[in-house]
Amino acid sequence: MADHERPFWEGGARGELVVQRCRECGGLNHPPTMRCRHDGSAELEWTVLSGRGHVEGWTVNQHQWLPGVPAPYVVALVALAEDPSTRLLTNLVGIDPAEIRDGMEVQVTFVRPEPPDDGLDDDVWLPLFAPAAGP
Amino acid sequence: MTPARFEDAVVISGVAQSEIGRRLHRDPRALTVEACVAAVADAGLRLDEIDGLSTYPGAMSVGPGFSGAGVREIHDLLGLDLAWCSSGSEVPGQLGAVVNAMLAVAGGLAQHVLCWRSIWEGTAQGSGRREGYGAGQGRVGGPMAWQLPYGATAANLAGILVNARMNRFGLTREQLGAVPVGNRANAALNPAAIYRAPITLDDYLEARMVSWPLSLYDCDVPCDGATAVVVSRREHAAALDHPAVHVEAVGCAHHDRFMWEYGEDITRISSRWSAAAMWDRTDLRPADVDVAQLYDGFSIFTHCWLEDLGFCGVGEAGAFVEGGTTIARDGALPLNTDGGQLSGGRLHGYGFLHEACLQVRGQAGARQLASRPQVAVVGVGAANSGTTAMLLTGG
Repeated sequence: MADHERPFWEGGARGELVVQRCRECGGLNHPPTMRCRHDGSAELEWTVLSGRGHVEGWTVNQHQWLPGVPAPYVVALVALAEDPSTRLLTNLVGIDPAEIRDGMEVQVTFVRPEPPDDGLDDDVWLPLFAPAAGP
Repeated sequence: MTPARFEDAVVISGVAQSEIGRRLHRDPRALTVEACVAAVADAGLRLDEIDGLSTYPGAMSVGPGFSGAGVREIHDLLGLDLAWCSSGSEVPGQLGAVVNAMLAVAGGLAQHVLCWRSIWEGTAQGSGRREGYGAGQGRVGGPMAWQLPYGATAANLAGILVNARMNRFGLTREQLGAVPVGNRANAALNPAAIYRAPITLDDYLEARMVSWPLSLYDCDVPCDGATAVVVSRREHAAALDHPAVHVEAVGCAHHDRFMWEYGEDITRISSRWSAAAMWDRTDLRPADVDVAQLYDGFSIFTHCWLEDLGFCGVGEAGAFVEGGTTIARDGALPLNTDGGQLSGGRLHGYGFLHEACLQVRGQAGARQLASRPQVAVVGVGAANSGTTAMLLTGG
């Protein structure tokens, strides 16, 4: 994995959703980049977010595309609470797909996939989202 | 002095396709040569008159069967003597290779450029269930690193697009089924189409879900086949033994971020920019269009093209196509008259250009529209970046 992407994937080990933020304009950037997509600044830092967001789009996948990844599962776009113009592609878990609604509030949760047996020591955690507890 | 428009300097002088099938088990280079040789003959040219080549995506190993032959293979196989060539996938949609050819001819770098798109995903992907791109890789990099960990494929992103349009525009599954059902009716008249047996709206509604609310008939069918097109200097039109196809206007777009899950509006695709760019280059208007050939890699893309080309308002394509009357062969806007990619096979954009050319030439065989179209629009590509629109007129 690229060095400038590592903090995003490793934040889950601490239960933290870590996203790039511009020191100049405060805008979030995802996937991680080298110049802020809002103002072009190279002054980017990592920030720990609340992990809250809302469902912007979703689909219920019914076809097994990948070995070891059985259907069904929910693929979703989650807009981040701190900057809804920045979204994550993710999975929704812990909810009956029929109960998902446009705009519903969700909260991050992490899973650590079994790494390939290729000798790399990447510690990758996937941020997934589940329905947010009450306000 | 007004700068010359490159469109005015060129004609599409020849088009052809190879044998097309679900799984032909033929060498993709043979399919490509078959289409290329036939297109050159259709253009009234000898192979030694071809002095340029242009293709999408060119030689590459990504995705089984995604590329049938690159420029250097075809250069060698046809024994050509070239002044210019170009290939690659990083263009504004698949038809970017044809736009490059037009620019090269208009700019005087070549006289006759042979273009093709060759694909053999049917054979290369075998008879098992279709896997997503990147399947089987232990680790992934680039854009897929943000998709595959979540099991997300193109069909899922299209499913999100469909669902967002249902939630925000009131699109229904019955409306979404109109393009697949209509395309299949058109495919019955196309002997080269993959699937020709009619389907009803009930068949559509009962098909298995791929990525709810996107179902089987919303997805194009992987196939084997090559399409070739020859772009020539306009002066060559007089030498043709068929009506020339003139290029009224071209519009390209590559504005938004390429990764379509990070586009600025999850209900739209980049056709909104390429269509606008095309209309900016012509005095013709949507009401002048006689036939439309619009990308249907997933059926929802056709909805976006219909709206963005101005045939209906944004969010209104569902109502526009509902019931199929308007887009039928005898409707106000005949659509995808060869069956599109949903029924004709995933020729990856070039089938639409091929069909538009045959219709304005009056040479589409059993599926020729009764009133030969004078103006055809072609829209190819999807997602946030990388689309091209072309407006073609008969000679």
